[in-house]
Amino acid sequence: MEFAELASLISGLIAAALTLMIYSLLYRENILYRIAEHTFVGLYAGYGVAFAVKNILDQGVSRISAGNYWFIIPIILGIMLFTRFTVKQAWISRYSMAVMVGVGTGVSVRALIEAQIVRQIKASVISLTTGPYTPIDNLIIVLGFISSFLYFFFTDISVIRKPMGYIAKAGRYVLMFTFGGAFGGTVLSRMTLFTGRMQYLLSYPAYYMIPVFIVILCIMIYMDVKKKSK
Amino acid sequence: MSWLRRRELPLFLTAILGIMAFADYFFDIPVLHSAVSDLQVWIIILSAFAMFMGVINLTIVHGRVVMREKDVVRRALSAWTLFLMYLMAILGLLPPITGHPSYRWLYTTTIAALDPTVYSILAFFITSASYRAFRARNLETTIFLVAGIIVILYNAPIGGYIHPGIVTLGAWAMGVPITAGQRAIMVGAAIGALALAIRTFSGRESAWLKAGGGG
Amino acid sequence: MVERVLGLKLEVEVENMVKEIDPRYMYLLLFIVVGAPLLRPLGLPLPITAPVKALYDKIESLPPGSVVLFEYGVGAASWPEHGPSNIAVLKHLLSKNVKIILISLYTAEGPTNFATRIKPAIAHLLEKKTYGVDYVDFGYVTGYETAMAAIAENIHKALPRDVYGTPIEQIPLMKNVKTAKDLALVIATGYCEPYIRQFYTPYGVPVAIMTWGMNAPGYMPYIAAGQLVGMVAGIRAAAEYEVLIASPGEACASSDALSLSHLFVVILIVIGNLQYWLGGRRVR
Repeated sequence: MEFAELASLISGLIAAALTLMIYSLLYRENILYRIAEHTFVGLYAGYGVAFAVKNILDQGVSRISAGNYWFIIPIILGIMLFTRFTVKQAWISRYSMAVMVGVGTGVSVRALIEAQIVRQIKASVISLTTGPYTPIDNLIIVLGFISSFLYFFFTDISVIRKPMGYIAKAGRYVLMFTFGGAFGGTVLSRMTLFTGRMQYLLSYPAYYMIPVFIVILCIMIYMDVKKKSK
Repeated sequence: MSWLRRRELPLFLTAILGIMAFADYFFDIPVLHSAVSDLQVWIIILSAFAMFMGVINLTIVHGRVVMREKDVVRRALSAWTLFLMYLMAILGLLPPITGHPSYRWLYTTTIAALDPTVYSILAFFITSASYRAFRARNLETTIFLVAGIIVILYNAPIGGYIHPGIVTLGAWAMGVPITAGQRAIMVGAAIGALALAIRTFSGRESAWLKAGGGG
Repeated sequence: MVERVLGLKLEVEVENMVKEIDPRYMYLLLFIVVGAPLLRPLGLPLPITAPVKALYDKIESLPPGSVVLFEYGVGAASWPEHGPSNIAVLKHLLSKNVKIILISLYTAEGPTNFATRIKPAIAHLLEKKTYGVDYVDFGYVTGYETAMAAIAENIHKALPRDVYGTPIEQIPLMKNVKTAKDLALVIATGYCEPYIRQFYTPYGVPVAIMTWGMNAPGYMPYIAAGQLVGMVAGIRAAAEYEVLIASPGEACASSDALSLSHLFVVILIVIGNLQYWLGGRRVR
């Protein structure tokens, strides 16, 4: 067997083993799951370091070496960020955070008014007869939006006077329908992830680990039954 | 120099920079435009530094466990976590940075398997919750379940096979009532985000200022 | 369990008379329900939904020489949902005479997954293209939405080098691509809101999204408002796209398993509710 083939085989077996170690949680909490969990945490934390260094070199150091000396400031601010972990010098990191929070908030919020408020309201205030859907559907969209929106502003239905209370209650029903749809989407997402893992486990060379873990599971069940009978 | 420790200065800096970035969208002022453009690149660099925070935090937390904890299993697991973290970091820094074959091999062998598996566990909990918890107790929960069933069958290719009406009903549900409700949620959330931004710019939102110590 | 009935402060204790099944049996059933069709596919038909068709039509209508920004931020956790859609849409783009700017903004895992999983699947199409002329890769750029804003405003300033370290001025494709206005389409992975805020709203660049299935209901308002030109949400939509480009792959292979798992969940909901309503509710 060539080295590349061997590396691929070992990689597949380790990946399958780690997958099944995580799934062993479905039976009960056990040491195999904890090992896999800690493996994940450690590797994932270390993964981003290289990309962080690459970005600092490409975006910061390369600009400084090209003569844009202003870019020393974000590098100094970045180093100041690490003082967050100290007790006495933690105040220094506030300035780095201030830059990130200020610019980040300004950039994300400036187009939000048009994108997520104005255009959405505009798309909801449609003609019942010439709107994008059938007249009844256009009516449902307009009334559904208004009633749901009103529900957020007058949440405690019991203290609202009658006409508004009925509209807010209707809004609550529309929102429940929406959450039901969101639940349906969540089922799709999670089942997709599981289907992807099953596809992997049923492929070469991962399927070699399945009998191994069936044996381990049987041992765990036997030990639990024995413990219970004592 | 004790005035540098005051909370007001970083809050003022946040407000100034935030308003500059915000105003740049609405006003065509070349100086402002150039400054905000540079600031955006600064954030790219700062965000890269922020990626080290997880490593430092984990080192502090797990380092404490390794040094002080009496339980051998916990110490071993923490040591294993730290070892893997630094191994991955070092492999990633081997040239070409982020492109070394061993770095990619370790990623595809471990993270590519563990990450989706951890999230896919929720599929099982959703399955058991579907049987045990989702009850049509009143009109609201019934509406929730009916909508959920419609969308679940719409999303599954088998839905159209069971009855073509499921596809039509599902498309209608997604396009009309769910769109209306989602829009309301979206506008409400956007107004909330705007309020948070105003609070941040006015210095009333200062939770991010809290710092000090690891873990 | 205690319920409020009809708004009255009447406390009603409801007790389910039927013994509940150990959830581990359901987990085992789920393994079987998903595993069986993967071993023996059923070949169920797959209707094409409107948002997927809309993206397909948009790409089909792109004039030759158009520049498309393709964001391939696929993480390991989201590979089952985003991976097949990334591959299918890229196959479609590479079959057209368009220029592609590749970048990862959502996750640092993007470049690794691109190199190890996406590139091998599209290698036969990439061979016919020239790097730097037909496509360019900028790798992962930190900063997410702020990086997007910087890129949209001045691409040359925000991205000084490509993933191989080549200065952007030396890349022929990027010669006439300076701001978002020079882009014909942005196809992103993950969440659509930042792209709508930074590309569509200020510059009018059409945006399409490849996202998780659970986001599909939430993004319908953007499609209805015309802020998204198309959407591939989840593996089912990815399977539809594979059918449209006549290149069945990972997504199509899993659609039967997806069908049965969804049906299983619906059956459990129905059984659970039947047991609740018919199994005996005792009012004290």
